[in-house]
Amino acid sequence: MRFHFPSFALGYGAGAGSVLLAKHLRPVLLELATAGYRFVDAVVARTAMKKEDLEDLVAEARAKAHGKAAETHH
Amino acid sequence: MSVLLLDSQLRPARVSRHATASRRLRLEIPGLLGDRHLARRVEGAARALPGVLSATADLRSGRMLLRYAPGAPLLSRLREEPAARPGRWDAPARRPWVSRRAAQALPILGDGAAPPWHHLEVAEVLSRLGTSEAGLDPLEIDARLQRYGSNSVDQADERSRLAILSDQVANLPMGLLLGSAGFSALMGEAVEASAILLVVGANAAIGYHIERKNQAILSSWRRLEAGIVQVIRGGVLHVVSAAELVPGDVLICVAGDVLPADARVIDSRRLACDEAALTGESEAQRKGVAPAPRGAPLAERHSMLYAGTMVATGRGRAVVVATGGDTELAKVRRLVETAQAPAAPLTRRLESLGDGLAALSLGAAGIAAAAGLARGRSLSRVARGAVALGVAAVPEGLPVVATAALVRSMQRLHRHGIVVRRLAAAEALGTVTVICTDKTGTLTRNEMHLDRIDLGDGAIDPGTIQAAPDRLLEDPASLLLAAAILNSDVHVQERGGAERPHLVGSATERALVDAAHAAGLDGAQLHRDYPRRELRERREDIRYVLSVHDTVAGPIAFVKGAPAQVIELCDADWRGPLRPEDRERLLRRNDELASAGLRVLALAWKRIDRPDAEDHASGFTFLGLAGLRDPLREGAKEAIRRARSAGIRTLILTGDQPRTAEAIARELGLGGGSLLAGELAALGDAELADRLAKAAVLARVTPEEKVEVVRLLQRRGQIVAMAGDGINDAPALKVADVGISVGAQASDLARQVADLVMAGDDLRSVLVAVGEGRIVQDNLRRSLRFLCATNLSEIAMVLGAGLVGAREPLGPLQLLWINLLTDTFPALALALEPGDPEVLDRPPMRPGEAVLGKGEVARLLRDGMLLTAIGAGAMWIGGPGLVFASLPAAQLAYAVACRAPSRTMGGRVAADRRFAAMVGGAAALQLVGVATPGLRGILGATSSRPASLAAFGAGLLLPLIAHGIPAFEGERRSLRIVRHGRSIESSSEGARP
Repeated sequence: MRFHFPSFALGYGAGAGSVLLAKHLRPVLLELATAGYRFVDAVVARTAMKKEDLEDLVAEARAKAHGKAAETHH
Repeated sequence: MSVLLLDSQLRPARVSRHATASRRLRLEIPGLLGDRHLARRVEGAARALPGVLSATADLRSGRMLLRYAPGAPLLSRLREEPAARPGRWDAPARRPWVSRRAAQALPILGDGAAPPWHHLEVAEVLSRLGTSEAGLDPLEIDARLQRYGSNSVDQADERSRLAILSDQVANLPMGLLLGSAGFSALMGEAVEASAILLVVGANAAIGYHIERKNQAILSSWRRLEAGIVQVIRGGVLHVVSAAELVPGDVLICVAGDVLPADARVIDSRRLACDEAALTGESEAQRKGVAPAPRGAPLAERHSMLYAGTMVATGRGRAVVVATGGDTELAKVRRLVETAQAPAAPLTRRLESLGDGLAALSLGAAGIAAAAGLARGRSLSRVARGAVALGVAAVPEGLPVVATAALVRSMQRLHRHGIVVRRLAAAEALGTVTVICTDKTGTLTRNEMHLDRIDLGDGAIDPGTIQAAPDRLLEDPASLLLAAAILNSDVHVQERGGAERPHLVGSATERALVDAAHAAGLDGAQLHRDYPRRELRERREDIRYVLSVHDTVAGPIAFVKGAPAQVIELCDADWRGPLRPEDRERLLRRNDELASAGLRVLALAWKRIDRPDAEDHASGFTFLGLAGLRDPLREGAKEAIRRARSAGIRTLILTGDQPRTAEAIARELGLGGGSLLAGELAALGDAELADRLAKAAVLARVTPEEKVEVVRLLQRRGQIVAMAGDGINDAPALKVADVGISVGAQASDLARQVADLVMAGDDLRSVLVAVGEGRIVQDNLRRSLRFLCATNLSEIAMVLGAGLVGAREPLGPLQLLWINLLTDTFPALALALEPGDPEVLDRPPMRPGEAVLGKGEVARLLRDGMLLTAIGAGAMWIGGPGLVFASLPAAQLAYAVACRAPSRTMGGRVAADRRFAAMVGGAAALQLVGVATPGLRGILGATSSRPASLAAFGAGLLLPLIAHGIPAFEGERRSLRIVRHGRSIESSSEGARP
């Protein structure tokens, strides 16, 4: 395989850069990951709450309708 | 409504939904998200409740569904409660309601509905808080903690790493570069895209590193003030953490305590508080149980103690009325949180410059594309030309250059003990037109000092007095100083290793005792020789302190206080009996000292003939007058004078009395009248602005009014710097264009919100910082002129070739090479030039003035065209290969013409070396680019090597010939300065190239 200087320079730069910056990058990545997890948790929680609200709504409607029907039968 | 399901549950569950027809109850349970164990426990607890049919907790939503039978009246009565903070799920409730009966009976406090505690009688305060002088029942504390929350104020959040990093990338120049990188990537130009991304990454890394470093320095300065306090609970003294205080607690306060909460005084023994940090009041304020008028401002509520202030003298008891977020301290913090810091002038100007360049780039790209398509060129070639123009128009090196100039300035300021928290603030200082400054602690030391003693025949410096302890009663000056010690309530704390003992007491009495010690008196020995039998405090109508002491020869009494009243008690002075004209003379001496801005106290003494005498209203011998002042900080007067000569106005904003502030203004040489904050509201906008323009002092100003004054000045086009140290200054520090926290004793809040933090107390440093800001501006203008002219030549070359149908003179990668390497190094050298020695002798830049003036734009257009002509000549002679060799060389030579005048502040030799190294380095890089086979291939340098070298040499020489030698430029500039005097125009033409 032919030696390609730009590829070598990019690869070397990326490797050396990641070693040098690891100490500083870790906290940033940690914050980024934490923010990601928080976002996913919030989306899951919101979805679950909306689903529950819908269940409550349906149950309340059913209860009210059945209540009216029962009153009418009586 | 909330429900407490478990004993160990710290925060109650909230009824988020209650469907009564279906008998379904949704409870939002704090901490339930993802916690299986808690889910099992709350389910078990709920199922045990009578009438509950089922309980199902959902770990994803954090809520539990309760279904109950028709016969469950308790559950059916629960009502829905809105979320504590809409939009923030599961946010901790600040003041949760609890289902316990005891907690439900607690009074509602704070949030604007708080009773005027300062105006109520002690009995009513205790009754409203459900407490007594014996304190709260310890069993009630938990319920109150749940109801009112812990006594802590959230610290202003530090900026997260992510926020700092995103700030580095989310700006227009970076956006244009990222766009160019994306476009290059789409075109398959991986090397170009990577190179541009590398620049973006480097810029972001530099900015991030600097801001993080500053934050770390500031964090290390933060003082830990949270401590323990003494409270009475159930009649017993307890020592508890300040965070555990609740409204209704009875607090024990002694001199030296930093108050942890707002409290109403219920017992005072010479209690006085230093409230300078909160109100700006320079003297300790007496505190008593008598109610204050309902509308009294914070500084005049003498029945209240406030969190964050310090007990200066005496002791007392007070009942806590507000904790945590309900305290006055927290209200100031909230004001800080809601205030918006303005964008720095540099940011605003660079944004407008960026917009102009973006428009130019788009316009040029559109014209070139239209011309290319009209000539039947392929789409890919047209797109390549557009990318080339985009890259040519953006001064890629500008963020690096601007950052370097600011960092250099930051380093220089660091040497003067100033930490720059917001990098752009270093430049913003250069544009400041008004400095608003706090008085107490900023202009003055916030340390009372005995300035003058007058024994009735003229003021003398207390430093010249040598006390005679062995014949005290015969020497008037010694007796006056002894009286100052014996009549004061100051505790002396010896500190191992410390040069002077630490004094605890009111600022005034500390100053008297300190002066007496300095004159050679031994306080401890005096207290042993003259033991105090009695001390009578000031009262409403009696404005002096009386102390009675035992001596071998019988009891003696001293008085110290308001001169008019003390002189009234005297019938003699050390020369003999006092006649009416002698009294008048003493009162005149008092007026003279008071009009010099001193706080004056008179002292007198007498022998008591009858040991059982109770009435001490006459028969005293006048000892003298003591004049005290809070001395100016080092360099304050000089700083004000230099600010004036730099065209900057100084305005004192203080919470202190107008008379004290006016005296300080006079001492500082500030002309102009004073305005009371109370008058501001009554004035219309125009009149207010007019009065404000003439005033030197604004007294009795609250934190909110400080913010309003700063905003008013900003609305009138002024660039405002605010210097302060107290909590009450923090909101104004944030809204000002540049906030400067002054002194090592500055409050944490002031330091957190300021743009510049001064570790030292010398106010002259502020002017040094202003000078640095102006140097940064001058240098950035030089760099901008260079970068804009060189980029203009590149745009003209690429656009011109497109229009006339010639070959592309420079490719995107060549342009990137030129802009990133051969242009950035000279621009960096220009950004680091030393400053003009007269930088502070000219007026500030006019607010709203463009970063490059009309004359400068005309000059850079001319220079840009000259460079284009050189490039066009090379294109005509040898094609694109010669353009890549000659144009960058011409640009390097042009940098010499952009340099600062030769007459600069020190460091000229170092600057010359730096400039030579950077421009020489860039020239070497360019030589490598045109002469190294590998790089020539990558960069697409097509001409022969000898031709390239010849073009390089010619490119270097031509601009120098056109512009003349640099020395001549420098001399010409100096001549212009002399000819035009100090007007803005002349300095902008003269000092700015």
